[in-house]
Amino acid sequence: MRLNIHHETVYHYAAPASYSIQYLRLTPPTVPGQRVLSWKLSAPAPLRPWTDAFGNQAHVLVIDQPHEEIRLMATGEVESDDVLHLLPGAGELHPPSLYLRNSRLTEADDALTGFARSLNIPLQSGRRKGLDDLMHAIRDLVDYQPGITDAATKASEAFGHKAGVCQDHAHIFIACCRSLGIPARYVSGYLCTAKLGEEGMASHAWAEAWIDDESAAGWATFDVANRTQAGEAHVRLAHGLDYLDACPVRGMRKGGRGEALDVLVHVGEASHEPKRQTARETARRRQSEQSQQ
Amino acid sequence: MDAFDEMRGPKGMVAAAYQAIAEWLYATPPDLLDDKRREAEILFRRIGITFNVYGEDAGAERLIPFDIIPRALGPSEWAKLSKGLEQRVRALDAFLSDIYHEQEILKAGKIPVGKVLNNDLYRPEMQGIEVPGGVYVQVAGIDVVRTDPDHFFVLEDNLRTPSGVSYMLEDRAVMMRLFPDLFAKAKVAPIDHYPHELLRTLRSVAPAHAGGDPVVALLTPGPYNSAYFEHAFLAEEMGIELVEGQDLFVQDDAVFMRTTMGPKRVDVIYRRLDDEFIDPLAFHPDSMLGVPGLLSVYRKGGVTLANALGTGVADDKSVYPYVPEMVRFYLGEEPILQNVPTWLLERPDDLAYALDHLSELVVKETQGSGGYGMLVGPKASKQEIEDFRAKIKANPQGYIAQPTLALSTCPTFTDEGIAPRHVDLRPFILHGKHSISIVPGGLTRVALRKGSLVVNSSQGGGTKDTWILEE
Amino acid sequence: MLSRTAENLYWTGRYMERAENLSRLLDVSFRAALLPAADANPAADWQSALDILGITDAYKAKHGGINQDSVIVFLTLDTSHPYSIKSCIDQSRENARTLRATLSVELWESLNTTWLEMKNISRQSLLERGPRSVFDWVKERSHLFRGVAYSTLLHNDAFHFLRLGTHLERADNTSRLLQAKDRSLGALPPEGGTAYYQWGAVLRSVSAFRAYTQIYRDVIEPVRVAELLILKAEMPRSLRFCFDQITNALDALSQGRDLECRRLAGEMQAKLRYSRIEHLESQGVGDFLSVILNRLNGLGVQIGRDFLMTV
Repeated sequence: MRLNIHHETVYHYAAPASYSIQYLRLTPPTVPGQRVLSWKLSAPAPLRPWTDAFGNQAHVLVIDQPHEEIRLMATGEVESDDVLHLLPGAGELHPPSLYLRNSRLTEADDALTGFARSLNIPLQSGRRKGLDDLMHAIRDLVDYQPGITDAATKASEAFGHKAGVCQDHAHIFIACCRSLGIPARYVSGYLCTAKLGEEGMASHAWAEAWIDDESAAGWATFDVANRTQAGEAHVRLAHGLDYLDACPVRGMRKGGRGEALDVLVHVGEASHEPKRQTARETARRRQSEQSQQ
Repeated sequence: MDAFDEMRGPKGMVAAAYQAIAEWLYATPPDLLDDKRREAEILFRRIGITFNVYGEDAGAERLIPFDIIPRALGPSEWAKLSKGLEQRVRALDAFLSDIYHEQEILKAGKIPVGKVLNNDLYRPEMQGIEVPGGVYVQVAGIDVVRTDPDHFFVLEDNLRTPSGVSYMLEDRAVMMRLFPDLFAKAKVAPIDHYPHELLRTLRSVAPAHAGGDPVVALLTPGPYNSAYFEHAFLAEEMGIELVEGQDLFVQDDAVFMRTTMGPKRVDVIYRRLDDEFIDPLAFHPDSMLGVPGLLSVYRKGGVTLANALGTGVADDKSVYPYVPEMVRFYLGEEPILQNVPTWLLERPDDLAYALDHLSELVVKETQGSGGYGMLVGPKASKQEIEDFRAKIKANPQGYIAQPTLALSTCPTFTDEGIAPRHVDLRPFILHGKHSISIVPGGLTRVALRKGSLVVNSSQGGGTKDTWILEE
Repeated sequence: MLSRTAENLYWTGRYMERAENLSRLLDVSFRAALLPAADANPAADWQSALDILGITDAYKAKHGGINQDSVIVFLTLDTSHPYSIKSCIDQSRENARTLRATLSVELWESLNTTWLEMKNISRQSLLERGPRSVFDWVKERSHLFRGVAYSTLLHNDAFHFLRLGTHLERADNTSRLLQAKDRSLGALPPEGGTAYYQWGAVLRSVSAFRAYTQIYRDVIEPVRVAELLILKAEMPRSLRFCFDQITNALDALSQGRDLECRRLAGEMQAKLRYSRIEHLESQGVGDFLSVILNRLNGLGVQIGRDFLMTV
C-alpha cells in the first residue's frame, strides 16, 4: 500500500528563545517491509544529518537567532507491505543481544517480572506465539486511555495505573521481554488510522522482539495498543531501547518561556483523495521531548 | 601477617632505592621533621590544593594529608612496571576498539556477551565510530600494589576520568621546596613535564580537520565537583581554557566555545565529566552539565573526546578478571602484570566460597569507586560482615571478592613517630596517536590509620611523593 | 576569554560596588534621621532609601510600617531579597568562586575574608555595635577590593571587565541618588538649615563633601552638587568619571572591533563631557538623569550581547 504522510510540528514560545537545538528522527528508512518513495523534511535552519546510536537516520537542527517559533515539516510517500514476518537483524549497527539492556523507562519491577513469568512464554520454539499471548495479556490489563501517563512515565508505573497509550503499551511489553531474556526494542513511527485501529493516533509507537527458532531469526513486531503486528498501515521512523532513544524530536533551548506545541499528522492512502480529517493531537508530549536550559 | 616493607625489605636491609631517604631520616631530628610537616601543610593551603567534600558547607575545603617521607622505586622495578602498564593499556584499548566494532572477543567466547553489551557502562552510542588514532583511553590511571620485592598486582584500572595527577605534581613541588638537599643526593627522575605530555597527547588525537594547531579545552562539571582544583590546575598548566557545559554549544557539526571575541571552535575536549552527563539530548535529559548536541558532532568525527565515551566497560570490576585474557587475545603476549585473584559472585561456586570466607576477603561493588561500598573482611566487625552478607545475597552480580593482600608498607610520619603504613600506587599512562608515555612516577596513596588497607582520600588516606630513581 | 569568565568578573565587580553603595546610602539615611531639626522626618528618609532601591513593596510585605531598625536590618542582612549588603557580598563571592585561576590569590583571599566576616554579623551585633561601624567596614572592604585588584591583577581583559562592572554600577547608583534627592529636596527653601544638612548628607554619602568645598569654596547649592556629581571628571563618583572609565575599558576590550556597546558608551561620554550644568538645569536635571538611567540599562544589555552571550 502506498501511504501519503504529512507531519507538521510547530513550537511557539511566549518569550523568544535565543538558541534551540533538536535531534530529529523524522526520516523513515527503507527496510524490508517499507520503501520510501519520496521524503522531504524542512525546518527553519539547515539540517545536519547524522546516524544515531541505534543506526537511525537523524538530523540536528540548530537555531542560533532569537526565535518565537520552530516549524518542522515532514512529508512524503512510503510504500508499505502487508504483514512482514520477521525483520532481519543483519546489517544493523548492533547485534540483537544489545536490546537486552535495561533502560530507565523500561526497567521491570517485581510486579512486571512476576506478570511476565506467569505467562510461561516458551523461550525457544513457540516464542512467537507466546509473545502474542503476552501482547494480548498486556492489552487486556492496560486500558488505552490518554491523559493518565506522560512521556516520562516508566513501564512499571503505567502497568500500575493499568492505563496508558501506545508508548506505555510498548514499554511494558519491552520490559516483560527483557526480564525474560528476550531482546526487545521500541519503535516510533506513523499509523494510517483510517486503515487500522481505533486506538492510537497517526503518530504511533510499537515494540519489536527478537525471534530465533528453527525456522527463522529476526525482529517480530507487536503493536500492543492495536493487538496486531505492524503491517501495511505502519511506517517506522526509528528504534531504540525506549521512547527517549527513538522519539521524533528531542530538543533543548535557551530562553523561550511558555512553550506551546501544535502537531498535525495525516497518514492516508496515496490512491485515495487525501481526506481532510487530520486530527490535531493534544497528547503533544508524546512525540517530543523538549526542555528548557 | 607481616607485610613487606619497601624500605627495610624482607631481610631488614635498607633497599638501594631508599638509601638516601634512610640516611636523611637517620640524620634529621624528629622535631625538625615535624616542623617541616607543618610547613608543608601551609604550602598546600597557599597553593590552594584542596578538595571539596560532598555535603559539607560550600566554604569547607579540605586538604588531603601529605606525608613528607617519599616512597621510592628503583630503575629496574620501574622498568618492569612501566612495561607492564603499557602492555595493559594497549590491550584495554584494543578491547574497546573491538567491542565497539566487530566484537571478535565476544564471538570467540572469551568474555560473556552480556557482561559487555548489557553492562551499564557499555555505550551503544560508541558503536561503529572511528576515533582518531584508534585511541579510546588517552589517560589511564592504573592502581597497582606490591606484596613482595618481585610482584606488582593490578588492583583496578581507571579508564574513565582518572584523577589525582595534580597531587603527584604538587607533592613533588612541595618536597623539592622543603628538602632541596635530599634531591641533590638522590637521582630522582623528573615528572614536572606531565602537563606538557598530556597536552601533546591530547593534540595528537585531534580530528584531521583541526590541522597543525588544534584547540583543546578541559570540560569540568564545575566548582562543586570534588576534583575541581585539579581541573583548574591542569587547565592552567596546559594553558587551555577550563570550560563548563554552558560555555560550549553545537553549530554546523562542530563544537564552539563562547568567548568575548565570539565563538571559537574546539577540536579536542579533555572531559572530566561522566559519560551520562555529556549530552542531555542523548543521555540524562535533565542534566545541565553537558553540551546538547555533542553526541551528533562526536559521532561524525567533528570533535575528539578524551577519554572516549564508554571506556568504563573496560574498567568495570566484573570485566577486570578478563583483562589478562585480553592481553593474550589481542597482543598474543603473556601479561607482565598480574591481576589479583578475583571471585565473581554472580558465579554460584564463587558466591558460595565467598560467603563462607567473608572474614578473610575484600568484597567490592563491581561499579563502585572511591573506596565506598567495600568490605575489608579481616578489619570488619561481625555485624558489618553480616550486613554485607545480606547485601551480597540480594544482588550477587553486583559484587566481586578478592583475597586480602598483604600490601607493602613504607615508612610514614605518624603521631607515634615514623612507622610503616600500607601504600598503593597510581601511575598515569598517556596514550597518544603515535605513542604511549608514562611520566616516571605516580600518586602513592597511604593508609594513615595503623593497619588500615584503605588508601582512598575519602576514607582517611594520604599521599606521598613518589620517586623513580634513575640509573 | 570565555564569556562566562568575563560575566563572572563583571558581576563580581558590580556586586561589590553595590554593597558599598548600599552602605553609603544607609549611612546617609542614618545621619539624616538623626537630624535634630523640627521638620525632620526620619520615616521619610528611610522611605526614600527604599524608594531609591525600588524595593519598598518587598519591605512592606515583610515588615509593614517603616521602622529604622527594621529597614537597617532589611538592607544589611536580609538575604531573602537581592538588595541587602549581605546578598551583594554573597553574590560577589559566588561569581568570584569560579575565577580562582583568573583572580590573584590576594584578591580572592580579600573577598573571601569579607564574605566570611559578613557571615558573622548578626542582627544583634549590627544594632548594638552601631550600624555605622558596619557600614564603614563594608566601605573599607570595598576599597580594599579595588585596591588589591588594581595592584595585583594583570591589567588585561580580566581587570577591564571588573572595572566595567564597578563603574556601571556606580554610575547607576549616583544617578538614582541624585534623582531621588532632586525630587525630595527640590522643593525645600535653599536658605534653611534642613536643605544644607540634606545636601550635605548627599555629598557625604559619595565622599564628596570635602571635594565640594575645595572646588567651589561656597555654600552648598543644589545646582553645584549636581554639577559635581554629574559633570566633574576629577570626582571619582561622578557620572563623567564613570563613563571615562567605562569607555576606556571598552576600548581595551573591543580590540579594534566596531561594537555597539562602545558606540553607546561613547555617545553618553560625549554628552557628559560637553554639557554645561546650566543647560541641564534648564532642561530639568531629573529628566536628564532619567535618560541616563535608561541608557545605562541599555548599555548593560548591549555589553551582554557583545561580549557575554555572543551566541
